Amino acid sequence: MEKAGLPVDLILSKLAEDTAKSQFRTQKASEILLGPLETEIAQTPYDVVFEEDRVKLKYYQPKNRPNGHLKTPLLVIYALINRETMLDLQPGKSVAKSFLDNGIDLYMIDWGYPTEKDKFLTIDDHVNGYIDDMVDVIRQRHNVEKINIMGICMGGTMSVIYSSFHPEKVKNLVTTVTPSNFDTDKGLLHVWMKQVDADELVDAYGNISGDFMNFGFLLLNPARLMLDKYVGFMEHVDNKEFVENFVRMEKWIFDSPDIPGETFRQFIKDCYQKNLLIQSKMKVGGRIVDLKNVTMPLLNIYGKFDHLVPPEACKKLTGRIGSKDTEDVCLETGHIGIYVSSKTQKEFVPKIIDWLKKRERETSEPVQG
Amino acid sequence: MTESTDASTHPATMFDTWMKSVNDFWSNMATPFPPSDIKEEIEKEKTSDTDFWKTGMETWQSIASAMSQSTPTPSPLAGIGTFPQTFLEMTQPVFSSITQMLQQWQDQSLKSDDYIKPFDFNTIDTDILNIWKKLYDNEFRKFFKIPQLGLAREHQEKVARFLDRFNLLQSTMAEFLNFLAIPFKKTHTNFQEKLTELAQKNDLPRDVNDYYRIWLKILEGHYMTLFQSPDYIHSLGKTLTASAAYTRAKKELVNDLLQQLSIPSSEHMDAVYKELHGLKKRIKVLEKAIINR
Repeated sequence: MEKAGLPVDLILSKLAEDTAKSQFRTQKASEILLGPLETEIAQTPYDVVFEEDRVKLKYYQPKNRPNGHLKTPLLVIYALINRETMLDLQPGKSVAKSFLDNGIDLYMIDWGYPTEKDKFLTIDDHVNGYIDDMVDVIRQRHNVEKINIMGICMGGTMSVIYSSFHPEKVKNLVTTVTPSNFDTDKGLLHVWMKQVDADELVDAYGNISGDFMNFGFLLLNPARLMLDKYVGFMEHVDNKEFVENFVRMEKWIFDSPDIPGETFRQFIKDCYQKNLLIQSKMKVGGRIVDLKNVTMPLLNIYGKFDHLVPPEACKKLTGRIGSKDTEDVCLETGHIGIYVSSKTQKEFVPKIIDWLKKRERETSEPVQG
Repeated sequence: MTESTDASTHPATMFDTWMKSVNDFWSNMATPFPPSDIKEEIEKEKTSDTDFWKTGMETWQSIASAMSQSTPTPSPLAGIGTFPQTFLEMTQPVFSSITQMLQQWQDQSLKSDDYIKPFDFNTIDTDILNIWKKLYDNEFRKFFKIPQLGLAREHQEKVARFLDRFNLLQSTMAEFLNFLAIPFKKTHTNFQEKLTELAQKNDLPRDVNDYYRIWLKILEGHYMTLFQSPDYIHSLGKTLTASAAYTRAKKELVNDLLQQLSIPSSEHMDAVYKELHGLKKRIKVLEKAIINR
């Protein structure tokens, strides 16, 4: 019997081939890295139409309004983790641009960078304070009773809470990768957060540092996120477009504002540890968040391979709210892929626009008073 | 050994001579002070400092004079040759206590033996961390909890607490980092086994990148298993708590320092921020009430 062994000759010849390629790649990489690179993010033009403390309301005005366009403005509520620039990461893969191309009046909340003075801001301050004020601004600007809201991740959770308190101001609700059921052990974040002593952390640090949160996210899959990602970068470092997009993603992912301490405390304790939201037992500003008050149509989109907010954390919502007009959409992608992957770009925005259009009335109601 | 009988070198004689010169010196020093008959005149101008020095010198002069006078009874200095012995008797208990304390400390540091299993190197990495942790918890930590006394006791307690929290953070962090290193070690072993398995099937990859992919997949698998293990999750929670406790202890110290420098501490600023937050909320409610009126 022939003894099996390492095909050393083949490996060596492949290595020699790779070495020659590497030499060429290094030369090219040097030209690319030392040359001009387009790595700017959030390049779609916008106006800041309202500011309150650190928070800004960005308005993206569509240049063209195609026939049958949505008349109801759309407010995107992003999470307090990372920034809303993710929706406008790179040309050709911009969710914001896709909405504009379809004639939607798009608003996005830029939560800014909380400082020490913001550590006492609660979920109530964000939901019934900033979000409500901005919704009112949009309603007045467009002379409408209700607006469409799209929430992203933790921003989705806050938009659900908002819709429960102010259903009269929300025409349609779109939640994307939004955790609402925290009692699952599918995502590591859900497992870990149960062990975190939020009181200790908030009492010691005040605001929770964005870098600290980011380190936690990297730990979710260190082999891929701290190692293989950069091996991949080195393999494609001779591709200018790849390098530019890679740097854009790096810029976004490590642009992490701190999270206001009291908001973090309540989110961890009431949501991750007690799972109060989905049971309609969570209190915000002294009032119960009753999901039965969420009576507007709901489109709930999540990613099948989302390791941060797994489908189990998202899909219960549609069955718990008051509205009967609900739809769950599971896309074959991950947490970020929903917004940035080429494949889902073709599904994600068209699905939302189509769903909203079906629920759009020809005339919007005027604002009372 | 013989005792010297030379009178000039006898300790008692030497002490008498020294005492006399000291007495003369302090007498001269006291001379600038005015004699008692004119004391009344300048009574009003006397300062408490002058009083203090004068009384002190007079007292010393009296004691020195008394000591330099010969006495019919055996002088206490007659036996000054035995002074070293007396000194030894006095200091022996003190030194004995110190030695006992040092011995106790040494014993405690040697207790590491209690925590080490002989000839067991299989778990040496985790053992070292456990040994240090147990040693610190059981033997060293108590030193940082010794009650502090006196005016600065609170500050001393804060320093001790800061050092204790720092040490605790180091030990929990070391344990946590050790957990993070485990998948690499395991991957190395499993990768070898996988290669052997592929070799036996005559299915070894031809491309170096494929070896990397195999290695990465094993590593990722180990991390996923580790991250869901109760031990890791417990260690993560402990590390975060230790880090928070250290930060709080550090803040306490810094706040004390800032207070000394009349710079608002984070504690003070927090109070201001909290008040500001409350006031802003109240203003907002009032604003809305006015608008809706």
